[in-house]
Amino acid sequence: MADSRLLRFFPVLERRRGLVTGILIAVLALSGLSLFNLQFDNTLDLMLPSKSPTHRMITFLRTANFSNKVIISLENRDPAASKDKLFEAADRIASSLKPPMITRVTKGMSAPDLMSDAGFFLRYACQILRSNDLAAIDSVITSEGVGNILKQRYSQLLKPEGMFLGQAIQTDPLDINRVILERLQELSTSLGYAVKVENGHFISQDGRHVMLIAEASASMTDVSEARELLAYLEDQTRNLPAGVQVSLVSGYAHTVSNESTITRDLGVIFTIASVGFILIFVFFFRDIRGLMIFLVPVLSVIIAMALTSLVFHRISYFVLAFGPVIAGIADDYGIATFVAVLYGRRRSEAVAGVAKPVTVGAIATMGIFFAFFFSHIPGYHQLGFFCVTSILLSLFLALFVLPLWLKEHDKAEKPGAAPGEPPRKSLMLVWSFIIFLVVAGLFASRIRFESDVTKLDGTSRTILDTEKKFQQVWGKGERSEAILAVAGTNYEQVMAVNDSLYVKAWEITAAGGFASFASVWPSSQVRTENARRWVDFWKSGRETRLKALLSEHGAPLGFTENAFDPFFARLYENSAVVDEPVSNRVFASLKERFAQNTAEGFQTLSFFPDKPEIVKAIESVIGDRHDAFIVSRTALSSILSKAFSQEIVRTSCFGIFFIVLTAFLFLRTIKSTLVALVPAVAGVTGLLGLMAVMGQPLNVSNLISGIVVFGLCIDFGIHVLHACQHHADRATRTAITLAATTTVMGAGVLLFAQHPALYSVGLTLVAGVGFGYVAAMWVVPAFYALLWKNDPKEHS
Amino acid sequence: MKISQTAILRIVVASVLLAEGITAFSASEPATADANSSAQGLAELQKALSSTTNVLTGFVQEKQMAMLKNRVIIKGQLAVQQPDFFAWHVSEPIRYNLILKGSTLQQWDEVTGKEQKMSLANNPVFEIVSRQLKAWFGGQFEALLRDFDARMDPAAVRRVLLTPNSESFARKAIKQIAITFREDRRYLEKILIEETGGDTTLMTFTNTVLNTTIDQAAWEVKQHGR
Repeated sequence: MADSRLLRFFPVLERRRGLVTGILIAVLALSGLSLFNLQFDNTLDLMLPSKSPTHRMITFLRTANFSNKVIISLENRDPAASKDKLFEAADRIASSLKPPMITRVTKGMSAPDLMSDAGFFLRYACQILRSNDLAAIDSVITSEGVGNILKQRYSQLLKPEGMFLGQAIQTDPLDINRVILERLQELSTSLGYAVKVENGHFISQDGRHVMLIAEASASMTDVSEARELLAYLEDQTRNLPAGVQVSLVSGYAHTVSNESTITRDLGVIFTIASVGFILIFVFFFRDIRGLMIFLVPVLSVIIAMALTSLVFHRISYFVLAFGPVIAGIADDYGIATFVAVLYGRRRSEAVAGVAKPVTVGAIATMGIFFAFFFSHIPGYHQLGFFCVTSILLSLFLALFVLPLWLKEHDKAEKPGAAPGEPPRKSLMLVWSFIIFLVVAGLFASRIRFESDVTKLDGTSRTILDTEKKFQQVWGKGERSEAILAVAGTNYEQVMAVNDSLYVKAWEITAAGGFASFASVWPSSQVRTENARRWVDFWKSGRETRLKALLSEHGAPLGFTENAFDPFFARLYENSAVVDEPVSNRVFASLKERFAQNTAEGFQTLSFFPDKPEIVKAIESVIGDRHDAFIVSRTALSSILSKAFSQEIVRTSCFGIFFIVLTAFLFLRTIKSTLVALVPAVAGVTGLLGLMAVMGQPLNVSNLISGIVVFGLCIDFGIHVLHACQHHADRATRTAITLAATTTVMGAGVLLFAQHPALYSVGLTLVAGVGFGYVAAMWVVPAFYALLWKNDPKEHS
Repeated sequence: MKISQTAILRIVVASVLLAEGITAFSASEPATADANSSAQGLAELQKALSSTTNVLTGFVQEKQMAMLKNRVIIKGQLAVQQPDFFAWHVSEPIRYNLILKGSTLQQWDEVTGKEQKMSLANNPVFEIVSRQLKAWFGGQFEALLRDFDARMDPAAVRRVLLTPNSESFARKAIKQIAITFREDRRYLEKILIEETGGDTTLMTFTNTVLNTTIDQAAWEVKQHGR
């Protein structure tokens, strides 16, 4: 009935060919214009499950890593040269970097000033030390404890370090400050960078590198601003003294490099795809009108891209890279129409003849991408929308516009002989297929999942090498640390939560190290309590007892009677809670790292060893709090695997359901549907087996492309089975071969991509569709020959 | 970038650790000096010292400290082998050994009875102290000039006065260091360290032997000294 409606409708279009063409050109022009304003997003956020711990962790790491800092590392290549040359070069660069590009340059700090500022924490020890610290002090205020510690202090005076320790011992005979210093060292250790201060400059341990830190005004996600900034920095760091080499390390370099890689990839992909498609069509049909088949998906992709940008605003490059893939898929409908008209009599009859299988094939393919809407990954929604729209448009153009421009032929295809291979050969093919499945399945079972999404980053090797070298010189940073983040809108509340979690977490990780701002600067409330406890502690007789013990044990060692008066004179100083010393550089540096302002309010960060057992223990400390979370690269791997597995299972289930349902509705029997599934099973199993053999891990890109492989291959199965059942052997085989070739072509061009994510998509589709095509062309007819040989009714 | 923040903090904490012994000192006025003439004088001394590659010397250290009733006399032996070996052995009043080999520090003392080994890369305090020890007792005046303003003492021809400059880690701890050279200027005769709090340390070098073969035992931190 649908076919007859099409037969009646088509002549109407034929009479208004000019109008149809005009409308198409107008839509195309509008779409083309809108593409000039297309905005792209090259972050991985779009490809991560939203509303999940994974997304929170990855977003946190991305924003933590990509702040507005640029590190300028200067290296003295001549080991014999003086450091002064490096210092001068650093000073010259620092003074040349100006607003608006660079808002601040830190080249180093004055050691004496820093020491003075750092002394703040020691002066306010009474507010920092908690009850357990006081208990430890109390245990020392005994005859034996004081005797031992005074011997140690005396021996320190006799060592070279004693030249710097004199007054420190007088003001702190019990070495109470050590507790605070150890905590500060804990904060330092958690950072993993090895830097010294010399002559007011940051200098590496080997003494051959100097570091400058520049804060830029450019947005990290704005490619043009990032590019402009890097050009400016490159310009300012030219003409250095002989032997001095500069390296720039920043997130901006990643932004620009990623964009350059993808832009280059897209240029290569679209050029090769265009030339390839044109050559295939012209070579295959030996008719220049074959080019019109190429135009069908191209026009569809342009219009679909415009519509996608209207709906989603910022489009992932990943989606754009799917353009040639979709073109390779969506040209199938044009091919079917073209071949039908080529071998048919009248255009309308030819179109009516292919409309049903082509539409079913398109629905099955759309089913895959429609399933993407059920995913939690925003990028998949974009991809789903773009692909479904492209396919719908291609179908419409292939059935209603393309035929209008095709010349009718008179070489009608004669019904072929009953398809299918001879029984013995068919049996051999089926067994070969089963053996293939078993072997590929065995290999596939060994495949591992690569959950490190950063490996899909398209940053150039040069930049990665520079960063690697930077880490060798300056240290690896806190990559081995897990982070406990507390977030909220009220600063004091966040600090109070951080305090309570610190106390619990510290007990768990006392031996392993838990670096928290709370260890040196608790919340206002806790500082008040600590100060009150400190005063009570000493006024309850300990002050008097300690004076007596110091006098008793100090005299034999030669200490004067009033040697430790400075300690007692300062005992109750600074017990009143003060505001945060915002101008104190040490405090500011610590706060910048461990307690930050965020877009939503405030967050504190604490660092601890990223070991599964410790992460688990800290998780138990957090419980079901919503204002605290852990960022662990170790845990991230398993969480990411789990999240993606859930996503893939969900999306695959919906996709396979839609595809199989479509196939069943078209083929009408379970047996036919199962046979039509043969290429899909072969494609996916073969793909996984091949990747295992190649030692390639499965990543996010492979997974999403694997679903597409499934849908495309079942499409082949439907068409071949339909051809077998209707004995339309030649035209269908021709169409399927061409369809598979163009699909592989569209995906194959991605193998020329440098961006790992795009390359993965290409590899998956080429391998999967390749296996599927072979199974469709030879195994499906073999199954048909075996399963339908005694059932002549089903042949028709 | 996280790197910047972490780098800053690393520096800060390194400095904080260093401050363990010196934050309580009161500030001193940086001394002014004629850097050029000092540099010239020091260059001449450096030239004379450049022929010295190994040093083995005894020392007597007299510390006058306000917190101690009596003057403390420390006796021991010091060995330097350029560029990376340094040994400080104390025999009286307590036994104590400190060995620097490249970026590794080892020490032992009889009070704790414990031997300690550490990497200087991870211990900013000891790294700075070690650097200074090598600079003072190894005659590395180029290194000294980064932290100190230097001038020749007009009252004594073989004496150099060092005052911590504004960038020096020692500014709050040390008021002045006076180094007196031997007549041949190939090594030190004595060092007088005046601290900002008024304490003083005078080190006198005795039985100094230059460019001799130093026994391997000198570079061992074993429990010896008396």
